[in-house]
Amino acid sequence: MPGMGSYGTETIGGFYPYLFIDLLIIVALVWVCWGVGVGFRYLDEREGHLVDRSSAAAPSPVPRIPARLFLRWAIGIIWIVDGLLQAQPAMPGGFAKNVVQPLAAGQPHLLANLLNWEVYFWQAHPLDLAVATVFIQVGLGVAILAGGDSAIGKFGLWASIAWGLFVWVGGEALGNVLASGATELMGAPGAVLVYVAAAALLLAPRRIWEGGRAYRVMRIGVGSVLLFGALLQAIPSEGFWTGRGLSAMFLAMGHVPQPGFLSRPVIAVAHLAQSQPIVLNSVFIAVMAVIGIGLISGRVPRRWTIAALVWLGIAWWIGQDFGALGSKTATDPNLSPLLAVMLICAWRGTQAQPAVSPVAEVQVRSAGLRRTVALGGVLALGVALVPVLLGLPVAAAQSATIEALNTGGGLDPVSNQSLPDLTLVNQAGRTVDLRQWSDKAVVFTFLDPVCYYQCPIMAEQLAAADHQLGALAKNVEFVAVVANPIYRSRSEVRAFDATMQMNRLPNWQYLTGSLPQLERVWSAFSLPIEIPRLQMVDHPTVLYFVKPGGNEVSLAQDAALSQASVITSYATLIDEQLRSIINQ
Amino acid sequence: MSARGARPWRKAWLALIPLAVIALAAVVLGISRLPVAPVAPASSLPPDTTVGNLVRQIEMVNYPSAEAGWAVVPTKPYWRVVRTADGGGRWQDVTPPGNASNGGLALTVTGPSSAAVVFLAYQYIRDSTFAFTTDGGADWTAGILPNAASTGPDPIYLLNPQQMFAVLGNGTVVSSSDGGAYWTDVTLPALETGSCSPTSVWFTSASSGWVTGNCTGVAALWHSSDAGRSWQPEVLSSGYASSAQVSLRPPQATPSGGAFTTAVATGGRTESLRVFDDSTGSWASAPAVALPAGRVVVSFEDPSHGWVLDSPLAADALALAYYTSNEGTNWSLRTTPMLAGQVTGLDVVSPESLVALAQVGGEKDLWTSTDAGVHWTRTQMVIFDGPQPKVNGITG
Repeated sequence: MPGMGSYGTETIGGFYPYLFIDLLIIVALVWVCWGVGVGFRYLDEREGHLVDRSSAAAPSPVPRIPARLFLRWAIGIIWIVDGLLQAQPAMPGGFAKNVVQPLAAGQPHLLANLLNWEVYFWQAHPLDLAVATVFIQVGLGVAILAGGDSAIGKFGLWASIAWGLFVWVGGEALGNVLASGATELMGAPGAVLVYVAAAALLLAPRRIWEGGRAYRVMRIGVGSVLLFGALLQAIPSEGFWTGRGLSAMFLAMGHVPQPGFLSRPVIAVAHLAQSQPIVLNSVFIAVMAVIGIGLISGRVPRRWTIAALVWLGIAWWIGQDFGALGSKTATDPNLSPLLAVMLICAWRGTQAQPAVSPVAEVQVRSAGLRRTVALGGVLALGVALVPVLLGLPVAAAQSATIEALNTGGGLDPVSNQSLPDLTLVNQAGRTVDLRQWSDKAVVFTFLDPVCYYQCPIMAEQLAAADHQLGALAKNVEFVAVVANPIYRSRSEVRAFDATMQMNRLPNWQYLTGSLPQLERVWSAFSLPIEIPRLQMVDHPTVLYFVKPGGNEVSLAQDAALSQASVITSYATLIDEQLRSIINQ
Repeated sequence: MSARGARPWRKAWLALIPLAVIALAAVVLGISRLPVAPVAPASSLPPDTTVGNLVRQIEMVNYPSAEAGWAVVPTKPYWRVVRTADGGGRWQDVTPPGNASNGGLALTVTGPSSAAVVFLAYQYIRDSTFAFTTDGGADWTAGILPNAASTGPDPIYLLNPQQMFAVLGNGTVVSSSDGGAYWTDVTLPALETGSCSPTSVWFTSASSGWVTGNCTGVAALWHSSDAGRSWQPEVLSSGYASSAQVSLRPPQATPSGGAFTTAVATGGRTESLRVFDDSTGSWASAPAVALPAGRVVVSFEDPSHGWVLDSPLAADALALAYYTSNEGTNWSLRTTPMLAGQVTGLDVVSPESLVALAQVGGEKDLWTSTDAGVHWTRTQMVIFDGPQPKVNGITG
């Protein structure tokens, strides 16, 4: 069918050889550590430093708590599954573009800039970061599973918390709760928060497990998530009271490549959402609120647990599409399975099963193997982090923008030139003279209204700079001229403004005109504009900073911006340059 | 079993630190020696301007006449619109320049020289651009839709260069009366039973328009008899299971001045086909015909005469062509298995001439039949460059 695009299917060669090399290195390190350990033990035995364990006072085995063990296994296995998902062939080329970049839309500027930077970093080092993510997550799982209550196991849990919080910010954009359209049905406030909570519970003193408080905390936690979901669903600004808003998420899920029998119910719900949004959204809110309150109340926990598990199953299908595993860049199973794990753990814990005492001999016999496996997990973390840590300064050095920010430079002075005395029409239809903002500092650029690539990013950065300027923004005018001879009508300009929400900026001017008018402006700035045979109109990305009075003072022509797929904190560069101009 | 003694061997682990450092250095060295992965953003990739080569990727084909045909070819990294004026002997690239998207193209063909193309973008929730031509792709007029377009067939229809309709990805139908400069939402009255999500808009005459799509539990569409000024829902049949997914093709005109359409219903593992005809003033159809499981493509020349191409789900299987001359009441196997691969498209050029697309592995080839589906031949599509088309009067 025409128009059916692929979902991030581009692959980058060398991914699996790289994974294999790292795996070999980890195995080799484990083998070396094990061999050295055996060697020292042999030397100790020969010199008579060892004593017979049977004669030593063996520590009494600690009774195991089945529910706690279940949670440890569940979290460990899910981390490993997440790690293996990161090993999908499309992940190096698709993670940043398909997972992180879409998250940046509609986020607060600080978070959006962070995500943009992350995308840039990933694009610069796709193999290093993809391989690192695989081994970090598999390593976490292995360390948690094999480490048990040992120091290695605890290290795995602490690392799980740290990595989980990092992923929550950088991979889930705080569960997307700060952007409009966040819903528990699709995974807000973020699956990885459950990993963090689970690790924290496993690190908590055993007495809260033995006393049953841990299970109550789990039920209250899940109940709170559902109540929070009901709240999100009810907020009008999230858009779920309209057919278009409510159906959008189901349509998005339904269009992820997957077998038809999975997508049809999702599409059916989307149709229902389009026709009966108020009824359906009310049902969602009521179900989440009732179950949430039921879980928090602690009364008849079994009944509410079953109800919650049913709801989580429904949400996992229609809202989370089973973690969108068919998308080729799925990163985790999403929120519902994690919450279900917590509920099942709490259920098992309240079944009043006696704590199981391990058989001491088995524990001793398997201790060496477990220690070796756990060590492998920790070494995987270490090996994976090396390229990440090495990549940070490399990425910074590769980014001309970051370099410019670090040095305060990156701008070419333009000596004593002024804006041309030409007229165009702004987005409101008013004729404007390019020199009419002579009492203000002007940021002048060229944007293509139908570009889906760099121009939207530049517009976002201009808006972010305007926001950063705060009260100083009243002394600045942001002016863009259409850079497309084909799509240059005022309606196209206004459509761009609406999509990018630039129409919220009082000091924003997006100018267009007849083709001869535009060509005169392009010529005045020596701006080459090409109409390629098979791609969108091509134009250089430039920013002119004009001080009050109309003289140009500097030109930013960022090669990195022209070549890279995303840009980092360009807003800061603009902000700093404008402040220096205004304060002159 | 042994435990720690006076010199705990655990201390020996300290000796591992230099070893670990060496190992990590080896990792760094190893990584630094790996080939650098080429990572290029889409816009910096050189356009594929290869012409004169055999194309083995054809996404859509439509022959409005025996000589003139249009096709969408997803050559990497940008999709092309190609057209033939000699029945498929020579295909020419007529893609409107200065346009591209990362989500492919949707092409609506309304005549031998008339077509509209929509550029779809999925990565960003952005507006879709479109362009239409009335001279076979030499000159295009471009515009912009108020949101991303539907990915269904025929998402845009130009009644004339000023009056146009489009279906957006969210199911909203919009219209423009000024050549696409401004768009307004079209109100589609709600259905009394079932639900439908519009994907396509089509006109069978200057006044008679249709909005079709995917329905649940009902076969329904919206009809306008006043050139799109008002639309009314029409239920073709409500005799479907409530969970059945019913997909309606845009209606075609009948010789008697009415319209007909086909509805394929999916429920469970079986599919059924009904041909609806409103020549008598109300929608009527023969009983539903069960279709075999597998990939099924349906195309009707008129309400009576139609073909079904069926290819089983097995990879590289052979497809079967069935023919009906009585609205699907009876079907006959038209051919021995001749079409290799999964059939993805079928177009009835004339009663004797059929064109199909069949996928084998990663390639989608063009197959043609000139004897009403008895014999099929794999046909090579070769793209040739030509004069660069104009867009809004501008040449690149």
